Amino acid sequence: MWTNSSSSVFFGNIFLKSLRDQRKAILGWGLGLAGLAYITLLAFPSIGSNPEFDQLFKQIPQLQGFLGDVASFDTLEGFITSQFLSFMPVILTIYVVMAAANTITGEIESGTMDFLLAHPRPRMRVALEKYLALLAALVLICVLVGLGMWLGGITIGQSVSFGTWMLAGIDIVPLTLLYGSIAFALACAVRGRGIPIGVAVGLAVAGFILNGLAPLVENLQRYREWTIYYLFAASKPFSTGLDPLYTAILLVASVGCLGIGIFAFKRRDMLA
Amino acid sequence: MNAANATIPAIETHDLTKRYGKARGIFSVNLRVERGEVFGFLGPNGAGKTTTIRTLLDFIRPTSGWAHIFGLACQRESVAIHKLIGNLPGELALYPDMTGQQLLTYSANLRGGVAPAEIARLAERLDIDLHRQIKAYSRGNKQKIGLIQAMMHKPELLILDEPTGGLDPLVQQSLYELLEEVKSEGRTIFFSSHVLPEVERLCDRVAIIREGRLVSVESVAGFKQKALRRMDIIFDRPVVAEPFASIPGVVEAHSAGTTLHCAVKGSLDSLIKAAAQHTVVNIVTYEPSLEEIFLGFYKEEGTADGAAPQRATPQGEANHVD
Repeated sequence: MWTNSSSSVFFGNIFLKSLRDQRKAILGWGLGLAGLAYITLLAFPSIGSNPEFDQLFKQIPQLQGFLGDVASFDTLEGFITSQFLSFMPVILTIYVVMAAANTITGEIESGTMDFLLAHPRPRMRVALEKYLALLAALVLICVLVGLGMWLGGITIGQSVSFGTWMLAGIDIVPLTLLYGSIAFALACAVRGRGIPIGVAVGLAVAGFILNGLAPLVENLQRYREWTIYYLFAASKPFSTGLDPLYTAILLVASVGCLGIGIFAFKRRDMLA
Repeated sequence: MNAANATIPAIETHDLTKRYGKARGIFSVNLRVERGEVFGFLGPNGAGKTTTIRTLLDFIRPTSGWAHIFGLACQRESVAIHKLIGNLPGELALYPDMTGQQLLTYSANLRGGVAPAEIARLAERLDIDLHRQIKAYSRGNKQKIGLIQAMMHKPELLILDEPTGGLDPLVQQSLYELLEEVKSEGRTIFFSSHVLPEVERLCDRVAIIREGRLVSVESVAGFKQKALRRMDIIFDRPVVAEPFASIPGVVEAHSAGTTLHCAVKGSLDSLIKAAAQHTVVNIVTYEPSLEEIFLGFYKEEGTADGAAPQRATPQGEANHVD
């Protein structure tokens, strides 16, 4: 009745099990976004290098807030930034926030958290391993996105290095991780998914819009620096690389949310 | 380790209280379950059984009071406690996309390793194929997986919430035998159940909880001794019931022909001596089942001394508690 199984490696601890739980989402979101990046890059030779499109975007510089630096629209880096990397994090944020809420609230609501906590594992470790699995899933998705961009670059015969494409993919991690961490902390603290998902997605959408509208509305400009997107936009993976200070701020804030989440999770009742 | 000290009870709670809101939760629950005991925890749905168990397991935190398992504080030392216990929840939730074997592998790894031979032994005893996905299992088979994960590491204390739910009668018998083996090894079992015959069969002592409060803790024999017993005394000729009705302990007496029907609480001595004044042809007693005693506690509002005026009827006449 009992046989050794090669798949048992995924049942060695909570981290691996949680990562396994996300395997379909990692492949779905990773390959989907990578495919989108690839197709976008295929369009570059006909659109990005077309002077009419370039002129069109340069006539409306206010779009810079939403699309990145449109002045470089005629370059591959500017094109992929404006057409993909500027909004893709918003889409990925939805996945991260949902997954973060689900990894805690989902297990409590389904009753499997009782199964987990009946084992001799501290609550802190349960929460930490689940968070690390979320981070690993996010990194894997972003790596797939980087691979998609790299393949797209090769297909159209561009010379951007593999490392640069991967950096552009990984650049998305700190931003989306912070929104995921906010959702995770709230999921650890309160019952239900409404508040974690609502607050984190609300912050993401509001930040994206505020950051995008700020160049158009003078009164909003002073608030732009306080958005998480502003911190994210400071990194230039195709030129200067990741901004060390702002990236560090995003990561430290994420760790702070993790700490708050663990603190709350250790104290809460496991009630759906 | 504290668990090694035989004088420390397996479970001890003091004024354990968990409030959810108006009249919900558990209130000042004082329990003491000795090591090696099989302890039944009875009560209808919503009485507080699961809340008590979830507080012991540290899934929820008490509003006040405390609970210890093998001398370890349930809240502060839950990790050490969880090494010593196996738990089968009342509403068992498992990962549907895992196979039985994968789930047990996961559980074993979270416990730092369990002998595969023991898992195989339990699977054989409970007659379950571990290679199917959880979502394909019937309720009874899921219950078997839950039982295996609760028992496979040979815990010092088994906490089982409705362990036979969904099991067919043959597997129930196998489970009873497994539990009797656990008991014979000196390990402790704390279990809640609606199936009173199995409580009667397995338990040394029983606690009854109603609306979040313990109303009685007693041995099964003790419960029966305190209960109202019905008996029929058949004489060689008709007798008048009134003299019997005034005998201490006789709650009810009436005659029908040569038969005196009576209900007695406590000692039968006075009644038997009075009956001996006549020619007694036969005596028929009706032993109350635990089920009848249990029902008595729930029929009688506010009584907590175990001597509720429950009406013990002949066995088989009042059978279902749920």
